[in-house]
Amino acid sequence: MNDKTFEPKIIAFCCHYCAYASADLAGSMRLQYPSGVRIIRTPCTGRLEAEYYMRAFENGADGVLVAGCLEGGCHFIEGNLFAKKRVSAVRDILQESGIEKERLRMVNISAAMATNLASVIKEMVNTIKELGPNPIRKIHNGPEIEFKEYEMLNSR
Amino acid sequence: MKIEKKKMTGAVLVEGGGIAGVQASLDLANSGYKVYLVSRSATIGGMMSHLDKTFPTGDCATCIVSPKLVECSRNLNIEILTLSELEKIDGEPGNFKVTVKKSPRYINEKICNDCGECTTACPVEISDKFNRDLGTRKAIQKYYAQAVPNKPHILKLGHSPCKMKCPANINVQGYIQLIKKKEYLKAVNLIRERNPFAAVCGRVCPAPCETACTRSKVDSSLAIRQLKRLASDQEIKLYKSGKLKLPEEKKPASGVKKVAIIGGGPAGLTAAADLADKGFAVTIYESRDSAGGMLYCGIPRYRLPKDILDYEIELIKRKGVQIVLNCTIGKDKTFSELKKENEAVFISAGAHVSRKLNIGGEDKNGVNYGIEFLRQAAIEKNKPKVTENVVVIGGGNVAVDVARTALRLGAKRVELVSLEQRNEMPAYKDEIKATLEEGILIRNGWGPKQILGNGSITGIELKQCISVFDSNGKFKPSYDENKTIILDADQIIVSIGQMVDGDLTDDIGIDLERGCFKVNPITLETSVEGIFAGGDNASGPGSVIEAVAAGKRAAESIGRYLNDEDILSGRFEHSLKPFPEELLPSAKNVAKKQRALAGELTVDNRVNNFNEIEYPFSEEDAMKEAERCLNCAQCSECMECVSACEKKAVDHSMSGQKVELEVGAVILTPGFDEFDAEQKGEYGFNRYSNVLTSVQFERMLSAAGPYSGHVVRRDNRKEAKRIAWIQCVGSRESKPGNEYCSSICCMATTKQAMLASEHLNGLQGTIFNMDIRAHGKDFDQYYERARAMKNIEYIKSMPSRIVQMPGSNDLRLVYVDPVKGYTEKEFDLVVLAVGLEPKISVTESVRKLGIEINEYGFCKTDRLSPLITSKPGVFVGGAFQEPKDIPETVVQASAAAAMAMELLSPSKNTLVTSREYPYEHDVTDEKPRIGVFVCHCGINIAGTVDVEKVTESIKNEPGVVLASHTMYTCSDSSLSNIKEQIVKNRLNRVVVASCTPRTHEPIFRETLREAGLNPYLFELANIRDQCSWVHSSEPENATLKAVELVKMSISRAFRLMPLEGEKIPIHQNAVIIGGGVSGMTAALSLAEQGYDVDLIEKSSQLGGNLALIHSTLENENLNKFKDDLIEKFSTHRNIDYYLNSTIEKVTGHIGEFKIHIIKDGKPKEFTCGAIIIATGARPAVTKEYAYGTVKKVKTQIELEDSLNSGKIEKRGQTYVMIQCVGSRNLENAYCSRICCSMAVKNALRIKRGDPTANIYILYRDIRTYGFREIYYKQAREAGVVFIRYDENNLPVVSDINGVLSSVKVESPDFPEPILIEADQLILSTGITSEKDNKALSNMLKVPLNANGFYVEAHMKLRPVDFATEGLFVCGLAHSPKMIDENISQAKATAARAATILSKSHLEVGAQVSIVNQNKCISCMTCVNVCPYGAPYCNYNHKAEIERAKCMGCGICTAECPARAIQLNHFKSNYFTAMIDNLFHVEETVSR
Repeated sequence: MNDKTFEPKIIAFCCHYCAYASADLAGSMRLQYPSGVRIIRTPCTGRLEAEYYMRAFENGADGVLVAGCLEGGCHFIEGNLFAKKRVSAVRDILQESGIEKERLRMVNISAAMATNLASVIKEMVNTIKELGPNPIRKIHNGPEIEFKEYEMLNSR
Repeated sequence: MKIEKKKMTGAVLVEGGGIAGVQASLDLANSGYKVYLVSRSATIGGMMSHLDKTFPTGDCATCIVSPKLVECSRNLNIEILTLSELEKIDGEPGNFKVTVKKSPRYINEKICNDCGECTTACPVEISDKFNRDLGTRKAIQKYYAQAVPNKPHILKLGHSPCKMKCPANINVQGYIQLIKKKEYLKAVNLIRERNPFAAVCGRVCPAPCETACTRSKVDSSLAIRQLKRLASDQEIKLYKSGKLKLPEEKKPASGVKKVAIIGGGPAGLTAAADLADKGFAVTIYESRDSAGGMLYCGIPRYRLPKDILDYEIELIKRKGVQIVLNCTIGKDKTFSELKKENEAVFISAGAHVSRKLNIGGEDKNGVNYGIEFLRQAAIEKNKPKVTENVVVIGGGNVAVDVARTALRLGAKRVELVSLEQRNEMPAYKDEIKATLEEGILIRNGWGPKQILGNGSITGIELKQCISVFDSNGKFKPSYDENKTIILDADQIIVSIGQMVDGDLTDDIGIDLERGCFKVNPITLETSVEGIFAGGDNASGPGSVIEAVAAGKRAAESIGRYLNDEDILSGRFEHSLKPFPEELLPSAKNVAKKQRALAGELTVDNRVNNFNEIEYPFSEEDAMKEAERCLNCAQCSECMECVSACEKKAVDHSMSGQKVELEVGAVILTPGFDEFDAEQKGEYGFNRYSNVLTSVQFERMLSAAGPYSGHVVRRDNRKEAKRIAWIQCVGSRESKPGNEYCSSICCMATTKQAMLASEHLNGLQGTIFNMDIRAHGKDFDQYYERARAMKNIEYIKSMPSRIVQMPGSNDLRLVYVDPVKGYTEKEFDLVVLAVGLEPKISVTESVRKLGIEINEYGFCKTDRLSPLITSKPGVFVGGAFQEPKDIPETVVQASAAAAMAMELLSPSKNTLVTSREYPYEHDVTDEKPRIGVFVCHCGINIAGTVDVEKVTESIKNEPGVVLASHTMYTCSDSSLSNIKEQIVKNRLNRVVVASCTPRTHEPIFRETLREAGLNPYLFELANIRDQCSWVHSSEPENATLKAVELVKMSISRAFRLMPLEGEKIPIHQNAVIIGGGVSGMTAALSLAEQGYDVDLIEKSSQLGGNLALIHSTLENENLNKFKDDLIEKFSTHRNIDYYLNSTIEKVTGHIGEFKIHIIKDGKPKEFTCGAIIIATGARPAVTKEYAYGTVKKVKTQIELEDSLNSGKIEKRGQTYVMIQCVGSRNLENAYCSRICCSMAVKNALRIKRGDPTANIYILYRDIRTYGFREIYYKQAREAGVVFIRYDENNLPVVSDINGVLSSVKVESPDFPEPILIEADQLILSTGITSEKDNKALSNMLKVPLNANGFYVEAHMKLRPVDFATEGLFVCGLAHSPKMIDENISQAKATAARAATILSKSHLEVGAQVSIVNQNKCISCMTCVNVCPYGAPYCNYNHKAEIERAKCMGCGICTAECPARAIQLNHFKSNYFTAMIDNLFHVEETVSR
């Protein structure tokens, strides 16, 4: 893929009470940010399992953003701290597997920080543009990889 | 006040939409009462929505308040009335009839879907009050982005000065705003609504509007006339280029009533145009060869080209107006003929006859008259002859026109002779200037005596005019007949005024007045029925615009006359209301901008022809000029919003209304206003742009604010590193300002300093203060954290003034530093911590309701009954009672709700409604059948995202059986359609692709329920807020993204399962732990509400700490209060209490707690729905300052006790009090809040008994917050000496033989140590938490803070709740506080508990975590990580989750190492399905 036309695809997990609200506010304020980001709503970042990040990368995501409440301001008291711990662990695993850890990032965004969210997204897109596409994309082209492990996980 | 067994109204009116009003409403509505929440603002949320973050937790204010606001707006039993105020209360407690005045929003809230198009379309930009003038807003806009209700409103309070001043009341501001948007045609049409001569008036109007222009206070008025000209020129340009077609020519319908108009001048033409529009057959009789009147024959072409006039007359003709030229009434047709042929006549023949001089020689050849001369000059073919040497007599506009016309017709020399001095001349200044430029001489101060010459003229003799006007200002020239001069002239043109043609007036035979027709000034009726007159022949010669105004007025009257309508009532003139003068934009802070100047022909190029002199503005100049408009009236009524709103929700015709309501009680929570910092002139607020108020700084800090959270100077937008905060601006001083302490500012400033240091590197913050009042729970620790920071400095000094340094605009503060003395220091930004005061309008209206107001304008209350106003049944809470911070406000709100519930308990649940839904059909075994509805949201989505394409792309997704798109999916008709489709297509999952689930999910879930589907089978894809709005510049990618978002949602919906909440029964009684004032108050409140209460007290008596204190600071008797309270409590039939009882064990959950106690050695068990902890705290003990070892050293409590027993040992003794003994140090980091007031109270008490006593109070900060400040002042006035000490340099106590002798203190405020020979040393030791809190907190599984006090669920908004539901805390167990605050808090817990106890069943979480028992490995990780204590180990040694306690966060789900837990509605496979779907990974997992 040509670097110039490369538009990173990023999954952003946003917690309902803060980050998702700030993404809505960004809309109300008509802030503009790159369109490659897809937001998935979660009740709390503490709900997010490490597997989701891994799965996103294995599927070919160029980046994953985890956006929770400000530290100390979590609607569920400390869910964002659990998330922080997991994100940092997954970053280490990514690094070891040869995937730049900058592709996974956690930020703390309050419901009023729409401009911050937009700039974080822009920053992240720029960072990933420099890194180039997710290396896994090169080795797999979709369906031939089987996700047995996940199948197992999801059967519960 | 007790009303027994009476029928009462189960509704409460809450006035004030701030956090207090919202909390009170929610508590009431959730406890079985109907609530009317009345807010003066267009939104609810009050001051809290303005804040960036809250202290001490640093929570984002919006994050925490918004959900409450949304909850409030969604509650079925809360009716929000915005832009409203309570006007009248009739009736009695329990059965009030109240009147609410509601101002119009100009938006139909039911239709508006908050798309924001109106705001985009609105051209008006005005100062934004939400951002405290730091930014701008549109005239139609939401108060702020997250506002609730999320609808815009229009700021409209009256009409702008320009419109009011214009005789025809043209909407000047409106068309200027349209010009700003380059909407020239719309601008011209807006002008033509009130004046058909837009192009003409763009040239010749004297523009009275400009004299009224507010901009002239800043620099100079707007060039309104030229802007009007630009717009109409653009229109004519389009017409000439063929791009604009003239309207079709109309003909009046046959048989309609006929109107004749005499005279085709501006008045006649205007009236004709309007009457033709009204459908009448109008004929104008014009005696000259062309219509236009004075416009045609009085105004020279170089000012008004003929084609411009003809264009506008043509437009009028096309309305169906007949113009008969060369027809003079009285000559060519008689007036009676005319009257016979028409149903009404309008006479607007003008004043075309020149006045004569009546001097000798006037009959000579060569004497002409102004208006005749101009008329001749106007006719191309037959121009008058002009000789070489012309003298024009007159000083008015006609004279000037005559002189300039004579020059153009070839005169060699033209001289104008005016009676008036130059500055008195009635001609327009610009015209005089142009006249002089063209070389015309003006001789001022002379009047004609006689015209000289034999047969033809040779000259004129002039006499000197001494004065033109008499002492009454009437025109009455007087002359010095002896001073004369002679001017040579061969032609004299007399232009000293015009009058009405006498032939006409005589002929018609209606009443006259000073030679004009006598008319009613409003209706323009004459003395003869059916005959109307206006314009110059009724009012005397005037301007074009006055004639137009008369024409409009006449048309209105004639129309009404012919339609047999009342001619006078409800006319346009009556609808005009000037915008309140005091609210007009201030000239301060407005940057000066030059008024645009139109170019003109040079003198050489104009004096020999009749070409138009003035050039139009360039478009660029016009834009700049239009930008200068200050938008005085806010909304300009340009109606751009009306055309932008596709849903037709904007309605400018809305008017205010009065709403009458029946309620049982009223709660006042109207909040406060900020002190007007401008009153402190020495600080230069509103003069120096870098001086801000604390609220402005809060907006600056806010990420969503006008500075996006950047802390910058306002003048140059550079980072503001040197920031000073000045405390007590408007507080703790009597003038200007208020005597009381505003309570919150010290902490607000500390928070702002902390936040600012996070926002920018290298902040140097200085906080100027008298005392730092960090008296709230955990506040002092926060203050100490700030104080420990290197870049924040607290200085005990109040700056005397601020000077803005020339050049740099740095702000120089002048103050006396406690160490360095006189100091000057410069800063980038100064923040004034403005105090709180009641809104004047609120105070006034509350007073009108018959409720007593205290000396500061707040609601009058007693310390021991803080929620009760002077009017029974009306309660108060929040900052309107006394300045206070958020938690205390929320507490009082709940407490006031409890008061209302006590009063209205018999009528509980009588007026509330709940929704009934059809039976839900079981979908568990069905294959997913998904219906997808994609929303256009007008153009909000469809303008960027190709909605059709999205719909097309998803219709083959797995499970999708229906894919459709709608204009507004949330409209009533679309919702009905969804219901129909669910039934018709047997849908069992619904996906809507539209806006955000945060606002719209509840609406759609509701729809599903109404169609018999479980609400959890719904999924929303956010393709507006998070797609079309944020990617409007890349529509293709936005469409692609929308497709993917919808597909992801479909894949999630495919897996969604119906969820059922669990209904658990509620035990409708409460247990209260602790029998002090808090416990008893809470118990009584619940008991009064009709709930059974059991109170458990470990000691042998009731009353707690009340035994130790005897009076309040206000000198109210607490002994009696205690006795009364115990009496009332112990005899209440709903209360049982158990002394000498200890708690052994607590189990269960909300609705069903089990409490095991031991009373007098015997076990006992209670079951209850809620528990209130009111276990109190105790006075701290100390060993410091030789307490216990040296005689004459005692605690405040001991002093109070001895004062109470009347033992003043000796007169003239010296008392030393030391504050903060054993508190605010490393060991006990908190402030005990009460000790300063207690010391002041006891000092005053001593002084009252013995004025000769010497009292020294050694303190660190005096924290007499709120109205208690007054007693601090009284103490100082009584001679009590306050000496500050430093915590690192404590006072030293000396004794002689074990008896106190002296106290030595080194104060930072004094150069030398102070030695006080003391007779008594009093130690303020503060409050310490109960030791057994630890054991109880373990039993209840609720947290304690480092100091052993209970930790509430949320510091600000859930101040008496615990994170675990069903448990509440109040009183000293929560933190040290005053008795009135304990009472409020106790009542608050009662209200909070009532929200549970009022229900027989409670529906608990559907979205909860579930443990798969087979997978659980009993590691108990979930038990450890859950913040709510929901998981527990069951009988099988496996984890299980208490549904009633689970909050649905999913932390346990993600943490469980065995993956044994799933969170309903957010299951793992829902997430993975979305992730897979996005990358088109083949679905490997079925649902």
